[in-house]
Amino acid sequence: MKTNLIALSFISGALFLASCDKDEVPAPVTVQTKTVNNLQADTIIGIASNGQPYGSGKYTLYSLETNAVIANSDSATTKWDVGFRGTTIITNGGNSGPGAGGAFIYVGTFSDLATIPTDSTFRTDNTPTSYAIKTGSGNGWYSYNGATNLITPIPGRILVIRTASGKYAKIEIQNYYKGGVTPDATASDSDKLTKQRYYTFRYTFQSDGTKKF
Amino acid sequence: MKKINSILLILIITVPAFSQDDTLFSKTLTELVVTATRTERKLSNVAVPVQIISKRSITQSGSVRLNDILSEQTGLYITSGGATTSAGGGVFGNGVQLQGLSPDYTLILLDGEPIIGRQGGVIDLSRLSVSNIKKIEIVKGPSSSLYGSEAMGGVVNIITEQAQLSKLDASFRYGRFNATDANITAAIKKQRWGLQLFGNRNSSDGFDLDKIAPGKTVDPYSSYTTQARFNFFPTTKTKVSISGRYYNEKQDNYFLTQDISSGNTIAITGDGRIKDMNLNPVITQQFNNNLRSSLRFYFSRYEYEQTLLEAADKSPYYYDFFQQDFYRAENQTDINLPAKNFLSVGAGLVAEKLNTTRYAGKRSNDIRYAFIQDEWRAGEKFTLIGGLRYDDNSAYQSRLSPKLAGLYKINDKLRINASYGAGFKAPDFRQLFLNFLNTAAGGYVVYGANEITISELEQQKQQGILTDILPKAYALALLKPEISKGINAGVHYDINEKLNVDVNIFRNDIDNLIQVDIIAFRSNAAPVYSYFNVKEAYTQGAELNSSFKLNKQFLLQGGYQFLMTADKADLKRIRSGTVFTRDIETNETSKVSESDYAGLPNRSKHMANAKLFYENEKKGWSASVRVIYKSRWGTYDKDGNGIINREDEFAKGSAQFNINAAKKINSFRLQAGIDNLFNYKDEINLPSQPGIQPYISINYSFIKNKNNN
Repeated sequence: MKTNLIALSFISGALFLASCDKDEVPAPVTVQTKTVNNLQADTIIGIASNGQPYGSGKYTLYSLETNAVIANSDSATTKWDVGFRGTTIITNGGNSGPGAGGAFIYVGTFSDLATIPTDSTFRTDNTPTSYAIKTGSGNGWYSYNGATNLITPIPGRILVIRTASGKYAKIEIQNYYKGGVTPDATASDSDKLTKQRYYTFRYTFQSDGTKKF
Repeated sequence: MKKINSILLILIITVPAFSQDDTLFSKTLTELVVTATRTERKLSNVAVPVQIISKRSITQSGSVRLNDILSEQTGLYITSGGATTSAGGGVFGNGVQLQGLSPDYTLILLDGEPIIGRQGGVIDLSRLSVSNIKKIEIVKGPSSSLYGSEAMGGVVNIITEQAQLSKLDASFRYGRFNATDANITAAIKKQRWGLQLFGNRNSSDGFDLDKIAPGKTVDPYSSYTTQARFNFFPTTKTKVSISGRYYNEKQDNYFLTQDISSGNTIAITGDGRIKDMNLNPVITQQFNNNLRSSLRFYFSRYEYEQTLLEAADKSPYYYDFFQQDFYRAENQTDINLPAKNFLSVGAGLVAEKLNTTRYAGKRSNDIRYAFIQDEWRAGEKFTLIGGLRYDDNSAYQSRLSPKLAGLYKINDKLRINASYGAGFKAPDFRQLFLNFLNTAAGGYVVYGANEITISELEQQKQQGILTDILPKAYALALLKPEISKGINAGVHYDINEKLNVDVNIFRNDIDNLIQVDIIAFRSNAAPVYSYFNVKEAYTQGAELNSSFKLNKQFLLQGGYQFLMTADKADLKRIRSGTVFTRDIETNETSKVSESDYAGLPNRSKHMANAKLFYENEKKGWSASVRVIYKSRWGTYDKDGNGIINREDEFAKGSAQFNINAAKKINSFRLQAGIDNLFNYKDEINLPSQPGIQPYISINYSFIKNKNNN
């Protein structure tokens, strides 16, 4: 819990800075693009005897609507929209949560996605066999390089999210490591392990329920 | 560095390029080549691209190991051992790329017999001393119609000296990092027999590019090579030869590592040992003017053993053992048929055995093969070669490899050639037989294609070992060899007695490249992998060589290769507009265009060399200045799109300058030189490049040769 608080203060600090930057001109827009830094997603707390690193096993739940981390005790509510644990991302729908959530991956740039195409199909979670956002290297949002043991978000992959309340958002994951900086290929294994599972992403939430961003 | 590059460019542009054969001042037309057709032919009669490196050129360049001399040849790219360059390059020593194909796909021969012992697909060229080499022949383009597996990009044949004259030579070279290379060559030549003996010791203290991290970049090593060849002529028409070689290398390891579970730093010591031996009896009978037959036997063993211990308590940290045996018996018969047809037919048997800690027990494979080749000389001007080879075995799909090559001599000065050839590489033992459960890193499993079947997977699922079998598992099949189809077309033009130019263009289409894929998931969610023929790629480009005799003393050579490569699936993805990149500074993404795509990693688009040789035989002086340039090359993907495109995914291009001078005084030859004069280093991407390397060497001939060859 302590770590979550730290993460929260981190995030709100970052957001405060971001909002200073971007919100100076009051325009009649219903969407804002926000950046979230260093969102911890079940960071590694130990190494099992088989060499597998492990965290607490809990998802970090996030509300795109309120731009805040939601406590795990609220996991059975519609307060959260997306959850992060390692490279796995869940949405509040299907068998992950009671909400109307779903997602699919749009191929293109963040700004290219001005309107969610009408023929889009949102997938829902059916854990652990399938996730709305496909797991595995190259299948969803990231690629894993076996030679360097590094995880990199695939550029041009936008997570299109249907939130718990049935509204829409788009997320672009920009980095998976602490401080938003991927370690060098030559960095030590422990560096690569302890600095991973920190998400940097930007997202746009459309509060009016339309599919336009 | 920019200035140097532009000087180099001027040199290359203004200098009419270089000659494929490397003989310094001798006439090129009489140069003989054996590798192109498996029979001795004049270079000027050979229809496929061949490059010859002469002993003289090796001596003048001051080269010690095979990678030294190959790195100075046009179109040959020496891959470097390095932790971060494993994609397409190899952490396993210095291999050679030919026409842009990885070291895995070039066959390395020693006196016509294959060198075995690939680690990660690479034969480490620094295992081979060049001090007893007579010449090196390099055939470019797919050549499996004569040589079978591995000859996808081409063939490098190292031809060692045979006793021609009785002699005794000793040499010693000393260079930076206490690098030493000592040689003894002895030859006895009698009327009916000849014996050639060779011994080499090579060692170095290693070096450390990164002074901060403990341990060295390259650890100290020493190696010994002994080689003997006995030739016997019982009659004037019979030749019996037996040759043997033994190589032994030891490298001391010391490094610090972090124990992942405790986070503590631990020191590791130990060593890696390589043993490599071969035995090669050959009998050749010239029955009459039109019929010759030879019977060759070959045995080779490669052994690699690494033992690492924790320095503190000498407890085992890592142990790896790998032993490969290769047996071959082969007959080749050459028949001169009417109407100027020269026919070669051959057949052979290969048995390969493997014993390693990495697989579930010993593994073996037998190969049967036969080949036929006809060379037809239609008049003075036209030569046509057709060849076919069939390789049959049980562990992977059999393969038929054709070749067609033509040569047309327009006049004395100008000749053109074109060839089509097929190459293949057998799936390696790992792809066939690996049976590996990684207990350390997450409990994943890798099966060679012959180690698992769908029914075994289904059984495992019933037993609860697996939770899920993926559709890919139903595609499990006998692996096909990786194959290449290559086209070469070239022109050779002797502009005048001083100047000649060679141009060759090539295209190689590579198919059935083998990759791992996930076939199932285990109950602990860890994946199960196996091997499939999936990938396609191509390499294409042009090569230009020229040599120019300025006068009796000076020879100028230049070479250039332009190379384009691509993974065909990547190219398709880029063309469909689904590949993006992320800007390092702004994090903004944008679409990758085809022109941003650098192709396969570890390839330079432009490679060039310029060499100036000086020799004054009367006064005993010789000298050389050689510049080798390669443009930037891709290292590994950093922006997550799986291809090389972003600026930080490249290693910088470089020019390396080598100079030396030598003087003969009676029976002595003294040489001093500096390799890498301007101390070029790239510790991340080229960890095996130590920087500037001055050296001196001395050679003494105890028995003076009657003729100086």
